[in-house]
Amino acid sequence: MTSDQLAGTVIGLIGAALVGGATTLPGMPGQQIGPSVFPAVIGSGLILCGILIALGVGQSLEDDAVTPNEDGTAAPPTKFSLPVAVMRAGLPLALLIFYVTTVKVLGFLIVAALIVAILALALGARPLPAVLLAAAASPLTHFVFGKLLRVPLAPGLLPPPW
Amino acid sequence: MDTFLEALRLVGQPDVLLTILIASIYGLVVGALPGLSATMATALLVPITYYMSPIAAVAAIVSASGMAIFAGDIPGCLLRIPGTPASAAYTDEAYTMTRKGQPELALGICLWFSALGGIVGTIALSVLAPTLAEFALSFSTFEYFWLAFLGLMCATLVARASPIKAIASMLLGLAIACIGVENPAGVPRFTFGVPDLLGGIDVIAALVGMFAVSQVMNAMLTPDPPPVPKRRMGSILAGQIALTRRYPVQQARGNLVGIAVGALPGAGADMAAWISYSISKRFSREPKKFGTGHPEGLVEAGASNNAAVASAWVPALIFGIPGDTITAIAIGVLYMKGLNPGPTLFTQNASSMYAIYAIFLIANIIMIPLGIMMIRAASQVLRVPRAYIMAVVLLLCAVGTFASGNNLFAITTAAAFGLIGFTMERFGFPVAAMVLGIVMGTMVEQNFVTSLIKSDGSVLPFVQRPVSMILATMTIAALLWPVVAWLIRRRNGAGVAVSA
Repeated sequence: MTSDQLAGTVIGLIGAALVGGATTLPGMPGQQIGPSVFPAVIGSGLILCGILIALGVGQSLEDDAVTPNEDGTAAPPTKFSLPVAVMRAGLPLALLIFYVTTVKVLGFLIVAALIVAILALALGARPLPAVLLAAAASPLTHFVFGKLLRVPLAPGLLPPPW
Repeated sequence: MDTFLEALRLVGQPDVLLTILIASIYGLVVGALPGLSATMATALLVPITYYMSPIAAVAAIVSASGMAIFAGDIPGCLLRIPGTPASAAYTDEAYTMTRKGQPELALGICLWFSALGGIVGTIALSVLAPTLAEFALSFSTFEYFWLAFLGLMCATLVARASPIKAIASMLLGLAIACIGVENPAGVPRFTFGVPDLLGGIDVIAALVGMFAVSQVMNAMLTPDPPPVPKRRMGSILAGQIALTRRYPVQQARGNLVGIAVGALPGAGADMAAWISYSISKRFSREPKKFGTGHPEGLVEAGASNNAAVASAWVPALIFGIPGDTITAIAIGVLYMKGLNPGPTLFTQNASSMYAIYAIFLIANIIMIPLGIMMIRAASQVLRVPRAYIMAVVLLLCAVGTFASGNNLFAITTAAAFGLIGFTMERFGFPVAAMVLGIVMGTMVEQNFVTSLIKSDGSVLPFVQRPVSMILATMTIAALLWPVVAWLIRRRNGAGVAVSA
């Protein structure tokens, strides 16, 4: 299965789910047009797109057109094996979920410092600068957001002195 | 005159001026760092604008985004890595000039013609917007539906990816906008029983996820960019006056194309730069010099993309339809600050409008001195290891999305959209089209459903009014364009095969 066939199938299934989900929505009393119309239209469009993508239509247009990332570069090949690549790419997400699940208990200062230190190390920073960066970035961020902008960042185990 | 003085008073507040300065420096630094785009700079700024006065909030967005678009040229020129997609069109040209030993000249062109382009774009914004606003007062839901739809279609044309994948991205964005209770009947739709989803997907969290978290994920897999060679920069502005005299047509054409493309809903600075660069090449007397470090294309594309940054605010202010991903964010900020986009904004809030024009002017004027400083500091800024930058960016993603609603669920949303954005990029689906879908979904649905109810389910009234007919034609043309392009190419391809 090529990546386009996979992508097309997923898109088509999302479209089908949307159309299916739309039929379960309640209508508006005395109206033919309700909350189900829009998702049904989009879902149908997605099914059509899914089929076209899976069939490879439009690939000829893609060939010489670059698919840029947000920074305008095409995705370069990676030197990591697939499992390692998945783990590396998943690390930032895992760190965000770590923040969500632990910040209330551990507190912002500790969690923020851990996130910065772990990610910097994973990206190849040397240990001492990574720890120093974490020790500086965490309180500084707390000062700007927690103190100046009054965002209620959780104090947890280590409440900041301000 | 009174409204004008009031506008000057609004902009002259110390907090507004200070905001412009700080946001400008922030935009310059973030835009100059490879991998951190202008959209991301703007998205991460939004949570902070919650705590500002309305004019200061707009000032922050305007100055940071304009500076970031210019600053994206710096790594493009020095490292051949465009800082923002809008710089990608002429990165090779600028980098070739650097290799020829003219980085000052290349960056000077980017700065000088960006600033001038921004000023011309601002003048266009101040002339076009009120005129169009008067016209827009007569628009009904049919016209708004087509305008929004046209914007979405333009967004898929900008993508430079497979048009079908771009349309699929856009539709996925619209589908995501369906989540929540904000629909014609006010019933929970696709919330899967999760209370946090009742209010719909948090747009800021989605933006931060797709533009920032996904870039951190990318950084985990790609090697560090090469270090910037140390070099002493000569005078940055030397020779710019001569170039302005030498290429007046190119500059004016770049400005005009930028204004026109920016004012189209859905098409922004990226598209303007690509179009202008190719126009410049096509009409040049020395097209062979393009790609060999020739300033002509740089002049035209640089003049174009910053003009588009300003004129992209035209559809945003009048119709609430974003010109690009940056104005998509700005619209959210405008609503939040009670400056609801719409034609009446110009009658009820005229002083705020003048204030926005003034902010654009100030930002583009101080771009020149601040830009020169940034270019001189670039070799230092670009030497900060990516590991440090990305680690701090991820922390800011978490804090920023949390601050936008004091809700931890927003961070989960950002993580989810980081994954979505990352995956889509790997499969060649453009992320910007999806973002516009998410931002405009509610508006498209509202106008679509209201129109359908008014027309009693008939499609005919959608094309009966003259303006809606024109807009419908444009939209369908945009929709069919990929098919036509494909047919033309096929025919040409067949012709080549036969002649061979």
